[in-house]
Amino acid sequence: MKIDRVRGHLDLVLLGILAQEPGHGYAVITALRERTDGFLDLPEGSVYPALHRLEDLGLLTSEWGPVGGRRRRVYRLTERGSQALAGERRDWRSLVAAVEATLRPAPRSSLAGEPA
Amino acid sequence: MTTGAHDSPIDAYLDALLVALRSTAPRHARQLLAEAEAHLRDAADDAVAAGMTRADAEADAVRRFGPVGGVAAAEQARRPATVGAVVRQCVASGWFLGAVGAIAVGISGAIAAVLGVVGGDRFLADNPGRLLSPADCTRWLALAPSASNCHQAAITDWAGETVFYRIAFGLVGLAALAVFVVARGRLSRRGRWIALPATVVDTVAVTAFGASGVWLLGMGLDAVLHASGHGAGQWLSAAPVSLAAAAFFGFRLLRDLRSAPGPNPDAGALVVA
Repeated sequence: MKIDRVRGHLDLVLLGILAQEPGHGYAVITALRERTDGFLDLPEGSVYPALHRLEDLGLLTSEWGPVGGRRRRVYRLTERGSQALAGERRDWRSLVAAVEATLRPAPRSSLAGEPA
Repeated sequence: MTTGAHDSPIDAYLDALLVALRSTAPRHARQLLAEAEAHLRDAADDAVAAGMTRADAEADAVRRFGPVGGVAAAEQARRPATVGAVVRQCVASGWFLGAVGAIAVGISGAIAAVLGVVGGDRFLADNPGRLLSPADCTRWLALAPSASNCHQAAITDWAGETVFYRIAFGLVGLAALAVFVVARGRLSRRGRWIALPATVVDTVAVTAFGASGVWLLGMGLDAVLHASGHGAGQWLSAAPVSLAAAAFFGFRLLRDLRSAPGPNPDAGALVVA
């Protein structure tokens, strides 16, 4: 199975999921798996340091409390996190558009140069 | 439901994670462990509900959570190593090692006192090559009126200083260690305690105490072989303490290295399969 790693976008994914509704780590992982139909996968334990780092940055806030019979830490987006997500979303769409543009078949002359 | 500690992959994983998080701020480590346990037990419960056996479900939950080393490394890296943070880590660890070193000096003072009783002041604190000035002789003879000559009075004074100052230094070390423990407790409760990784501290300690111990032992043997043992006690009282400290930190270092998690290049990576 070919595996390609897309680094640097975990923050965007986590912020995007938590923008829908607050949740604990396991719920975030479950949502990630369900919403991408298992396409995006990652070591589940790596989500927690990422969530903690986003909280350190003030993009998330968290609260401990009983959920479903267990004591859990529920994360929610802060106002600053919402603004950061909007900016990240714009950057992501720009990146996707730029990469798409490079993948479109280009006229041969534009790479080789117009013959004199 | 929790199975026996020796049978449960989740319990084994949490034990390993606890060890791997030793260099993490205690509050952060405790919270990550709590989150990891809830996550793993949720995942295992879901897998059991889907038809897996409990043992297979726990093993699968652990596998999906990822290697302990990757999780711990990512948690430890969540705060960037700013210059200020590095300086604070060095100060905290340096304070600890300084306190331990001072306590070691104090213990060597107690050993020196015993050696002084057993071997005499000449064995403990003689300094054969030193020139004795008339002014010093006057002072030493005043302090030790029963001494038969200046040299004898000087040795008596040196022996007393060797024991007194070392023990006093050891008491300062104990106070410094107490300050360290209190500060660590208070800062840990606020989640603000940071120190250099244990392996770094242990390596520095092994090197410093080991080198000091070998040097002290060499000086002591030199005094035994070339100065009829005069003054050997001042070195030989400190050498075993230094070597024992080196052995202690060496043991800790080996234990840390054996339990250290391996690198995990996939930590934090989003994987597209």
